[in-house]
Amino acid sequence: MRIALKAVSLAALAVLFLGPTLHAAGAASPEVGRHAILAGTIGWFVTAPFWVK
Amino acid sequence: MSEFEREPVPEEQTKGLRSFLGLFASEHVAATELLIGPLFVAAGVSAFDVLVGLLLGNLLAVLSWTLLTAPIAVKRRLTLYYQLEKIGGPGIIDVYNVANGILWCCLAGAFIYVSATALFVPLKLPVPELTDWAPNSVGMVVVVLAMGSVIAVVAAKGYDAVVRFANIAAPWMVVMFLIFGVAALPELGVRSPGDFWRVANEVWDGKAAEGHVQFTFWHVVCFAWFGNMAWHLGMGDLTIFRYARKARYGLASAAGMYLGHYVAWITAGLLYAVQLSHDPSDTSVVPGPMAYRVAGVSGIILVLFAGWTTANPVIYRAGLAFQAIRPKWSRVRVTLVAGAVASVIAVFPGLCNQFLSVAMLYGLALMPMGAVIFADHYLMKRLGMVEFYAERARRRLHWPPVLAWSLSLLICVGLWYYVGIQEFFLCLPGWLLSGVIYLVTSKLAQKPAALGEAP
Repeated sequence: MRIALKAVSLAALAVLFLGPTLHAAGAASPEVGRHAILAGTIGWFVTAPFWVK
Repeated sequence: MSEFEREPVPEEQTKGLRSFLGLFASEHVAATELLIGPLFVAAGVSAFDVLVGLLLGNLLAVLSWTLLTAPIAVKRRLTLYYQLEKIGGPGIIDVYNVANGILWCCLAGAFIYVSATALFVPLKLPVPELTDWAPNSVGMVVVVLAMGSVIAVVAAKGYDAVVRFANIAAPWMVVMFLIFGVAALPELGVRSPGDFWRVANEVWDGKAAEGHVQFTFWHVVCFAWFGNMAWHLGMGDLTIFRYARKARYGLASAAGMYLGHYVAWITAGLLYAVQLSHDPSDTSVVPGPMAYRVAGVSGIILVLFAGWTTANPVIYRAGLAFQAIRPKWSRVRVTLVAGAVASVIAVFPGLCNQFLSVAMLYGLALMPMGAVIFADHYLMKRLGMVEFYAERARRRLHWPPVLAWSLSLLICVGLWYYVGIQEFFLCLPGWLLSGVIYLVTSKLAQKPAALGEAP
């Protein structure tokens, strides 16, 4: 369970990072970038408390 | 749990490299990075100065930790306070605590201000100008004082939950600082890697804003090197590195320097550049609205918690420093008073608008004691004198460290005021001067024969 949550947290950070990166590369709109940042932030804070010491 | 405040840390309690990497990465990616990055732009640094000067300055900071602080820490395994007490007597700790407590209140004020600016966006408050010293609206005063009160109460009542939250948020904060840069680049017109240098020269255009010192390459180098002087050359991090298994773990400071004081300062500068590109007349350095413009609600959350999680331990430490002078005082009350002082300081945006100078003065005020510890550790025996003299002579106050501290600071203030040498260039001469004064006055004051031992 802990490993699964950790994986979800890291995936959330990846989403957070990828959204603006795709926007910077011209492959996504600024809105997509912002939504990705928010989604990644929510994903991180929902899952990280269960495994970060 | 014993924290080995008055004894060396035992070998079996020492920690590995990873602990120090994590500690430095989280401690140095903090609220004030959101002020320093924009203030570099306002200080008129050029793109080369900021990109190369920060590389060099941070390298010198890492070497200071690795070659000066960590070896003494690992050899003695004692806190800064206990080493100072052995050198100068318990009396010097009182003076050091007062100085530290006051400076921590100023730092906490900056953190509270940064945190409060997150609320400027939803509350639609007018932002203070770059040249403002006083608050520009009643709303701002209310928001800053309210934020400061909440932070002070949490610090006074025990902030375990905030520490826990800070640990959870730390990796997210590092990624968010990276994101600031990535998200800001297209806003500034960077469409390919080839555009970066052209845009960088527009962002860091080498022209200082009104009321700000014109920064050069050497200002950037010295700021990066001495921005944390209180911790490396000032020996504040003896307290941390006494737990290091090996002195070379001082290199772990690179994690904090290059993530926090390189990447984060640069990306925070880019946030400011996005603001200027939208409105060139809006030169205010207010982290909340800057972060919101680039990263939306998540940017506000970052600013709010980056300030909060760093203000809490600083107010707590300020309370402890003041309470140590009179242990009978209630820690809760003293912490609340420290928080109230920090909140009042936070109301004045001038502190944050001039934060580059404030950070230098913080290091400058505490660094003489680091030079004293360094000289006592490496040079006393070689020059035929006694280490830890106050402890051996059973003195409550041994004068040479006090003289080294006060005279070196007085000379630095004189050089700044009468000769016009900027604070950014006074740190290293001041440190060397303090060490020399300590050695000379020790030679005059020490009487090893009276202690009944050979030096």
